[in-house]
Amino acid sequence: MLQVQVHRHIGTFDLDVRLDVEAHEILAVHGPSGSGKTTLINLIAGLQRPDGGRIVVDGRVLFDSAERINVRPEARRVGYVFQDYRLFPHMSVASNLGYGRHSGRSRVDFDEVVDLLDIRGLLRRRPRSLSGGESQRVAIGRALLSGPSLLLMDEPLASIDPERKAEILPFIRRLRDTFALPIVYVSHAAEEIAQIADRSIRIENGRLTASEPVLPPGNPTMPDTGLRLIAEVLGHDTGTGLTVLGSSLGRLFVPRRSEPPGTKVQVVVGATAIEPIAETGSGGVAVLPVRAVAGAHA
Amino acid sequence: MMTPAETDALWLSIRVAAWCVVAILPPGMVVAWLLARRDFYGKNLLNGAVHLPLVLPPVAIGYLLLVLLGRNGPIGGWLYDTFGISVAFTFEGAVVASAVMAFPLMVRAIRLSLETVDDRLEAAARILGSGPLRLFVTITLPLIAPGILTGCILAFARSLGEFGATITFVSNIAGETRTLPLALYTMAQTPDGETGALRLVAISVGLAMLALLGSEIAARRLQRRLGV
Repeated sequence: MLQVQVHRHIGTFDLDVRLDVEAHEILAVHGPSGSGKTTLINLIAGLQRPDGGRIVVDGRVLFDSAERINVRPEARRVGYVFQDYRLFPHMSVASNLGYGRHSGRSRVDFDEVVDLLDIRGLLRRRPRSLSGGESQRVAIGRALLSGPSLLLMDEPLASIDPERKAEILPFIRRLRDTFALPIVYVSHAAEEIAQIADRSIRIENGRLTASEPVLPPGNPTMPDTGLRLIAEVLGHDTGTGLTVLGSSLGRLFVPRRSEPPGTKVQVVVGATAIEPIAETGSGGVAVLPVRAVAGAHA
Repeated sequence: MMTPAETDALWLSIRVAAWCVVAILPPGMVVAWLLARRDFYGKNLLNGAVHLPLVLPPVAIGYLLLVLLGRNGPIGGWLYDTFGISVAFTFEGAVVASAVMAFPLMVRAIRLSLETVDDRLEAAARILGSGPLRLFVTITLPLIAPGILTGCILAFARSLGEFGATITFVSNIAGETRTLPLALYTMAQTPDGETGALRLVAISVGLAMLALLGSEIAARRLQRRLGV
């Protein structure tokens, strides 16, 4: 879990933000250019120093002005994915991926990340020969492989062609589900946020002006939504780690939720996750990736 | 094919130039780094002092060296009294004269490449867990390697051509300080020395071509390794 409370004054600009991000949560940060989004994650990463405040990750204090703690960026264990990739041009893709693993503190499995991001075929290439989408996947892999305790992403898709974005978004969603990482995702693209974030905050002129769960289904900015329904938490199966939901479609099994039984939740099934089964009534069971969203307007 | 005197001059030139490069590479990197990356009191003064040999006549530099490093000079006198070392009129003195003349070229080349290194890459490396030393060795150094190579080539070439400061500081002693340009000058001053002088010119041209060819090959390899 990431807890941030920072302020910083630069010239006439004043940033003062407080936010919390859970593990397994993607927090989208949006707002107009110059509102302080990048400054915020630079402060978290240690690239810039807050004038005051406190930054804590999983109980580890990275910055505390009162206690005079300011952990150097190289010791913060933060993964940072930049808009401009920043791959090291003089190293192969494999060396780039391994760069953050030298200290031996990373327990992230190399092959798992390589397969997750589908970059095995690129390992021997040089960054110069990669497309934007490939570069960004390598950059994400490099950040993950350093064994970070949180992931910062600064407009990771901004310099990628629209067609290629679709190639990366699923990977980012998978990161959240595979690694228990809090993810802070800076973007000003509403579609991106709607597609991957769990919660979004808006920063304007250095101040947090809105914080809300990402509007799920039925939202016109979420074109890939195929199905939206309200379900009720029936119980948690500790054996399988699944939560059982009751819905108009019958019982749904989703990854463990924190809501107590009886809570109403929204269930979103992405359009791309729905595939017609050729023969109905054959007794086959369709297993769909399903995402449960808290705060149903039931 | 070559007379002993010519061989002497050729080898002496190569040795002086090689030692010159070796001697100024480490301090050249430090000064370049200070000028490119640091702000400190007296930076302009340091910058001016480094560049002085570029703008002063070489003879003036040679004379200054003689005054400072001669056996009666403030630095030379102390060196002689303390360690019994004297560089005036020796091979080492020829290296010192070359080094001072070539130093600004080395510093400029490395400084320029340091200034073009993308500090965003360095920030990325720090976040990936690299402290200052590892950052320098794994990121900065490989990226400025072409600049370092350029600096070495420039310094080597400057040393091969060095005349004024050398002859003023360490004189023209056969086998000790008589490099190719000094040998050529000596020949040109000798009656009936035209043939000898021309032969030395030919040797100089050959050496220069070889050095250029070598640097070209090295630069190309480096570029391939850097993938840029």
